Amino acid sequence: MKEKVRSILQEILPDVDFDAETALFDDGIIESFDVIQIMSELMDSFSIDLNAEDIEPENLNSLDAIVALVESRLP
Amino acid sequence: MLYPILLCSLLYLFAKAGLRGLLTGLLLSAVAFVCGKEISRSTETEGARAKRALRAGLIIILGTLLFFKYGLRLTSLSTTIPMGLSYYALSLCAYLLDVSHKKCEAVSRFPDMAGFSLYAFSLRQGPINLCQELLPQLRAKFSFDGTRVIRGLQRSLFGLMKKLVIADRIGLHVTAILGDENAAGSLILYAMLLYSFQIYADFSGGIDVIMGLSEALGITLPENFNAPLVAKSVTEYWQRWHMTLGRIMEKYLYYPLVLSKQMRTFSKRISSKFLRRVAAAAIANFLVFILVGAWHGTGWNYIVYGLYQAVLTTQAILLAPTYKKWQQALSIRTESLPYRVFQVVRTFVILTFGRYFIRMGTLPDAFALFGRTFRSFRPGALWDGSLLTYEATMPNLIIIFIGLVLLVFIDVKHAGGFCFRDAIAKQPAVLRYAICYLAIFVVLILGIYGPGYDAANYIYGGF
Repeated sequence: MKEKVRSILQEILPDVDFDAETALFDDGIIESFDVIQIMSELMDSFSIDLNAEDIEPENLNSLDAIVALVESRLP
Repeated sequence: MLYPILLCSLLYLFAKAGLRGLLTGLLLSAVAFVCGKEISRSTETEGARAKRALRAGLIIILGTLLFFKYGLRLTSLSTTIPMGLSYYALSLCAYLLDVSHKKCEAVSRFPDMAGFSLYAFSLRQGPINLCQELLPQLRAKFSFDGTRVIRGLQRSLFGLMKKLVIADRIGLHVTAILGDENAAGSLILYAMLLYSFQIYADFSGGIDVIMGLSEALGITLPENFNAPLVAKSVTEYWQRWHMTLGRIMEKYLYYPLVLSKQMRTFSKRISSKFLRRVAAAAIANFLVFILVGAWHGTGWNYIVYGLYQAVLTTQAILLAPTYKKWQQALSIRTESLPYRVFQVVRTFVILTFGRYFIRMGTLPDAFALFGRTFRSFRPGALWDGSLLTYEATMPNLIIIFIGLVLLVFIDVKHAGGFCFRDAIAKQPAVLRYAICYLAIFVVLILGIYGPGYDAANYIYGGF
């Protein structure tokens, strides 16, 4: 799961070290256009539903937070 | 300190906007209060009822905004919008959506709701507050902190400098040039470039005054600017300019639009992989900027202004791969200082052309100004002494020039993470006081005052 999420993020933002960053959203490392690409890819790859209300720093600030968001939506 | 602030807010609103402005504010706050409670009560038991309350609240609030912005204008009954409506209407809509999404608790007392939505300092030109950020601070007990008060007043003082010394001085000069039908095109372009600085000094100066006074009271408002003069693209500019409007548009309109089922279904039908990825973002971005334009005013010129921003930001999304290929083909070092300076200047000029639509009252006037700019450019008018005939003596031009250099310098340092107020706070007391007294004298001596002149008249106050 974590590897799959990491590869999705890496494809969208190849220059970001997702293991080191813990404030991806707060520090503006992922911008609004990146956010929607990430959300769309996660929805398609894991067949889950995400919506605009999920776009919060606590869900997007780190790789682990994004993994937790995906896990919380898996059936 | 909620009640004293609420009382001041209501008195201020009544004094500035009359009974109509006061009643509009109180009625819309009451609508949000009732709908918020209904949404909060209903979500646990029946979703449909909550949705109905949410829709009703949004329709009434946005309907009122539209009525005053467009309805009355069309019927020629009135041309003024109740003060603060453009700002608190968005705050109230955000509140209802946040309650609906359980991001914020419904307010249980009406004074809380009115205190947050009609917060006096934000009525004139924002920033656009969120309930969950502002209300807890309003409810908190006031405690005096001398350092905080001084820092707050310091920010207000610097804001006044921007407004009274730079923006208003530029304003007189720009108005005189644009008012001359025979002015050379080069002078009009020069005036419009200055206008870009004026609108920034005016808007951010006003916001600094508001933020500083609020800080003195112990209230931290959301920042509205993050060094927009160093923006390297129009997209980046909108991330640095009027950030509280951007936040509202992004969070409550752009993201929901892009991630909506309809948009995703539409995107999936597109065969090109790249377009499939960006189509939804491009469409939503386009719509959002049209609305940003419409929010600013009521004429077609504001719609075209939004359209202009929409085209610029949307093409940046769609053509990003092409631009990257060009940069690689031309071996452009995108991180080099000369290229970044080029990007910043290019962005500033592009944005200035967009401001033709804002500065002029109507669309025909804006196009006429474009025509006047390029019909008879005559660059020599910039240095043949003509400038001095437009409400500007040489000392005035020097003050404007120093002001612009300072604005750019402060933004460059700010973008690099440098905080001037922190730096001043670390200086010896003598130097700190000297800086403050200097700022006071600069405002008193170099500020623009006089009969018929309203120092509290802000460009963004008209939106």
